[in-house]
Amino acid sequence: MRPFEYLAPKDLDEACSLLSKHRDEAKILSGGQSLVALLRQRLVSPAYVIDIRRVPGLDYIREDKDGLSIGALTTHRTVEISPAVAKRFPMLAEAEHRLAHRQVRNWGTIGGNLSHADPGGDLAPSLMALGAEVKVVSAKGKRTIPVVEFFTDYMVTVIEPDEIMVEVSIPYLKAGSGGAYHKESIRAGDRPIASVAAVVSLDGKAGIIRSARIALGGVGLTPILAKEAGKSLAGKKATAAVVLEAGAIAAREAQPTADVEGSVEYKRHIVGLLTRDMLNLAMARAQSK
Amino acid sequence: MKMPLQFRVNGEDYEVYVEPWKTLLEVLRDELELTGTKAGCLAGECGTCTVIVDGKAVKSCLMLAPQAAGREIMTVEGLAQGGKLHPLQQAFIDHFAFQCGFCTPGMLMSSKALLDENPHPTADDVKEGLYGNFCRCTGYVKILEAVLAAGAKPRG
Amino acid sequence: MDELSTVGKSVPRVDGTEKVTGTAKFTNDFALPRMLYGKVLRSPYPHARIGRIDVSQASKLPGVKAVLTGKDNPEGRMGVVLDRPIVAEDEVRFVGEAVALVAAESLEVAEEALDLIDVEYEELPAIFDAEEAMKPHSEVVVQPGHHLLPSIPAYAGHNISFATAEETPNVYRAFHIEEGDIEQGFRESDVVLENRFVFTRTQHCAMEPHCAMARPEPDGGFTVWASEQHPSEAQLFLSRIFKLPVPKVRVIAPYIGGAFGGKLFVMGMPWAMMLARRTGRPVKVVYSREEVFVDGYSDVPVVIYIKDGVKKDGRLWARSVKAVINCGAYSGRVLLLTGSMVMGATVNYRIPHFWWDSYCVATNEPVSGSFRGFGGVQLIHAVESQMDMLARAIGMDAYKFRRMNLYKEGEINLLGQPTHAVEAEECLDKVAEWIGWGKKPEKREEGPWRIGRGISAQGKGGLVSPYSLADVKVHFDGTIEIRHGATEVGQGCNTILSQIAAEEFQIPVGKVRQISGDTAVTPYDITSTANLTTFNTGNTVRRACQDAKRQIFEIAAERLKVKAEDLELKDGLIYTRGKTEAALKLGDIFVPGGGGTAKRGEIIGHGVYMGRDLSKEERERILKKFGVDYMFCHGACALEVAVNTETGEVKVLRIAQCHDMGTPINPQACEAQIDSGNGFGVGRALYEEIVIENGVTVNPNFVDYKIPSMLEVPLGAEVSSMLPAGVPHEDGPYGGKGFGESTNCGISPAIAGALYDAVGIRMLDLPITRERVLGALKARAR
Ligand SMILES: Cc1cc2nc3c(=O)[nH]c(=O)nc-3n(C[C@H](O)[C@@H](O)[C@@H](O)COP(=O)(O)OP(=O)(O)OC[C@H]3O[C@@H](n4cnc5c(N)ncnc54)[C@H](O)[C@@H]3O)c2cc1C
Ligand code: FES
Ligand code: FES
Repeated sequence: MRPFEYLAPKDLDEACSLLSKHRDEAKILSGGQSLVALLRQRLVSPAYVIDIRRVPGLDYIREDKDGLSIGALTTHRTVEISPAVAKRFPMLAEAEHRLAHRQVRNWGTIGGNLSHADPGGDLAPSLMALGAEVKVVSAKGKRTIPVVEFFTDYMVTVIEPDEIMVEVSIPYLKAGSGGAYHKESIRAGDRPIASVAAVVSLDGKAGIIRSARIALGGVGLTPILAKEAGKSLAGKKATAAVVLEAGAIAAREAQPTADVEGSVEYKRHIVGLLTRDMLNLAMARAQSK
Repeated sequence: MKMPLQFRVNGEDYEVYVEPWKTLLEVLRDELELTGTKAGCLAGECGTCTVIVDGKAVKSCLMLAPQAAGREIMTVEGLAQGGKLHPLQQAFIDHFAFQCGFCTPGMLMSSKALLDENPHPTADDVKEGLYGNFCRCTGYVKILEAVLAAGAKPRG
Repeated sequence: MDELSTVGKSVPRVDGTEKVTGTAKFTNDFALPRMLYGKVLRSPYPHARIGRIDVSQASKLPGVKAVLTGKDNPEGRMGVVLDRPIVAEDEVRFVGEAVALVAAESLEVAEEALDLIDVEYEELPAIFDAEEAMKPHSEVVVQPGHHLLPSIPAYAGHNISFATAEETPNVYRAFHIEEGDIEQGFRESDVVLENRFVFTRTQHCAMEPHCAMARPEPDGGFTVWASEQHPSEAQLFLSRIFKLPVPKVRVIAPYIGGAFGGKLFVMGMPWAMMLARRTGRPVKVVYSREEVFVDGYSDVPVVIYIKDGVKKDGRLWARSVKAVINCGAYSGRVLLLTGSMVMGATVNYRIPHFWWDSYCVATNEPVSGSFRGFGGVQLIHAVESQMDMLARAIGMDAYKFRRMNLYKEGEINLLGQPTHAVEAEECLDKVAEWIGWGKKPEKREEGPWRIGRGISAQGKGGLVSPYSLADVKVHFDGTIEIRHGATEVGQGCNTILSQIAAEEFQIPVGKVRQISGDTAVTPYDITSTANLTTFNTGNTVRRACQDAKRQIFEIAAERLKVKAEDLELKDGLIYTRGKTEAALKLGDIFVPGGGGTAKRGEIIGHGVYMGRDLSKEERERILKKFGVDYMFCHGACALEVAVNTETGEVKVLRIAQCHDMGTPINPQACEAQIDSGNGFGVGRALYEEIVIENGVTVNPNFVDYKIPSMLEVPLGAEVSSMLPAGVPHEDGPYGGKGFGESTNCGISPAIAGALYDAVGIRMLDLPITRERVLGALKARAR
């Protein structure tokens, strides 16, 4: 690691003013589960590390009127075992369950995970499919960004150097909707070969798919919203063929590169399978609601 | 560049001066000379550096030392009390749950955190709690046995 | 001594308390006052000429105490053939080769300094494929003149020639062995089957990364602490290259955090010593995990061609094998492996006609080394996969086919050595019964999953030591102190050796103390490798105990006016045979308050083991073919897998292994060794592979190189690690022999067999990744 100055703001205002002062020269530290490894390999060498871990008021899971709000400093483990998450968004608990392993989940935060913007991250696909938003603040003010617009390039987000992510908010699913997420990986907790989140809304009586949103992880420079696959389902009767077709479309929308997790072809294959399975599971959940 | 760091380790208060870019692992091993905690990869991948921070198992190679300020840390050196081995330690011996012993400190700390949360875990619970700790020697068979045995004992 | 009191019992490991309390010290747990941190600059090119090296910027960095290059090398090179410079001199030959060394006040400064060293390289053509490199007149020659280099003295006497013909300059060794008439064998066979098996590179992944710390001593010598499996050999090597009298280099191997063959290459030690010599301060060099992957002497990539002939009635009739072994840029121990690998094909099954050729070939890949099994993983995978296919071809059950071809007690194997203490049949029977061989599994499928079973048998040799020493010191309070040069790498040698000493002195294991792996006090021992510690060091320690007892009895006999032969020792008391009351306390023969006896001083028993007691003719006969004396261990594995027909994922559901080991000295420790093989074997079979592209290691970390976690291996009731009845080995200590190395060799072929059983595909190469499985399934469907 290269030497840096360590700053520990006591509240959000101080954190914002430190960031607006140091901007590009600073890095925010939350749980360090990604940042410390980067520092160690000297892939990043900030002059200042601004540790927001002790900034009060950013560690919560709140059931609001329209949706669930999760503070950026909430750890993965808290989300994984939260009864509110289990009740409202089981797919999110599922995503957390195979995110790395217990120790990383105990200390890593969801804010850090999203800001780190690893295309294989486990949270982004579900949050995209669910239509979640993130709130960021800076000395200049606040803004809200839909997660689908959050990631712009490989490990790059729309967050400005002086901004801090403070919250993720997820709108509740309407009646007749359900979601599911799965990561296919070589070992438990590995980076994905591919991961797929699906959220489906059904027209109760007719067995018609009102709408579907499908998001993919680990198969592109960013997490990907598979728009065409989602669209292909809207208004259709939920047959096996329709679901398979959506999988095939999602596989085409994926833009994987080959690595130790698998070849391009294999990753696409897995996207197809997972899309099918997650759609089926999401629909089953939608019906049971 | 050094900054003061106060924390509790294994029930004792410490104040040390450290460079902020040191990890908790480095401070434990180099400053406190508690070398029981091991450094197998320095990248959060192997689990040999696992310690318990405020009741939770974490990888000390990925925690910057200043983040430990004011917290309660437990390392493998703090497991035995008053010269008596912790039931997990005894179980590891009784069940031959180690060979080279390099993964053992981390394995014990993950197991301790697990049992503190869930005193009578099932085999699946143990696997969930320990899959972030690699062991290259044992094939894990006897580690699972040992943790289950320690968890089967009445506690109180 | 009728009933053994300690040997044969599962006494707890003697290193237990230390290891569970965090007090067990590994090399990196030591630090010294004024210690510097050493770091290594490594080559980014697979083959290049080194031009100017500018270290001025690096040297100027505050905190940097030394920057060294190949110019500062001591005289002498590393390897069995001395071919690897300590630091590269005019050329680099693989990505990761050491080019410069830095010592600095902190790790951060040392790393920063590496960035400031400016090296000019002129790239040279490189070669990576061993089959390419071994072709005559290869354009790329990894190290011209290799065949003229000397080998280290310990191996100079071996009857193995290290150099081959001028026209194949990259072939560093060719090894041949044969029996019968191979062509006739194939002609007489009813079915002949030929296949090619490809094995990629894998890493030991001992949890402890390599580490060495050197302290300059006032007398001009050095003390070196290192994670080194072979301190005795390291001492000889280091004193030779640094031109120091042997005792001036003291090598200490503390506890070693796993080795598996990966820690016997004096790794890091010469670097730490060079830097310590230059700075006059202690220097510690710790490998990063990435360095372990890149320069940790990983297991060899091999291509195996195997052709088998079999009779319709099930008799194996002919086998020919050609193995092309990629040793990387330097020869390391792969030269030895090129010969030893043959064991996987020669010690288990009776075959009248046999032909073997193996080649050790240099390339510009990282240096390969020895690995648990020493070529056995690859060869046994190939052989056992063939056994399955042969059985099928003649319509015989795979288990019965193996069983009928296994060697029996006393049969002379293809190495010309007798099969002894063999329980191969029993092992095979036990695993077959456990898995329910021949019966249908409860379930054959579930959703996309299909279930299948596989079985394998395996044989492996353990070197019978040419030379092993141990001392045993008797203290007046009855403590027995063993001094041995074997190293505790996790295999439990300290426990086994304590049991042997405790048995000899009839005392509890707790009264035995170990001093091991410190060349200042412990005598020479050949490495803690190749299955041999129990057998060789065990024999040696036993002899040292007997020597100490003889001394005690002689003193006591004089005092008691009885014959020494009539005395016995138990619990620190000396008895005249037949009497129930002790005649003397052990302490009584010592000078009161002193550490020794009056006439003879300290009681120190010496043990020497120079191999088995064989007549000259016997020895000549045994060594004629293979040159080295071996003991053999045998085992079997049966398992059940599930394969997902949509994704290709394979899971091992249940696994049983059984291995013969003579008399098990500590049955639970033996079981633990078998368990250990499961984890290794499953990893190797399904996940592990170092990916190298143009010489660059692509996945040098635990995220991208996938060793199994607790969730990837069967555990609990799904695992059975069994011991057979235990036929004592006549030359082993209390009948024991070593076996730990073969427990990871039989798993991959059993998995391959189970896959065939489940879905009808035959995977020849390792690892059997899900993607390869899916590919094979698709190909089959076509
Ligand atoms: C061995 C291992 C395995 C892993 N496996 C997985 C996996 O399977 N799936 C997965 O999704 N992740 C995985 N991760 C990554 C892990 O989830 C981290 O991405 C996550 O925990 C980061 O959170 P953190 O709080 O530790 O962030 P930090 O490491 O502190 O920060 C990460 C980045 O985000 C920035 N940042 C942090 N907080 C904020 C904020 N509030 N606002 C703006 N920017 C911020 C930092 O500046 C930094 O650039 C793994 C990590 C490890 C070490
Ligand atoms: S050293 Fe921390 S996880 Fe490996
Ligand atoms: S006991 Fe050696 S790594 Fe676990």
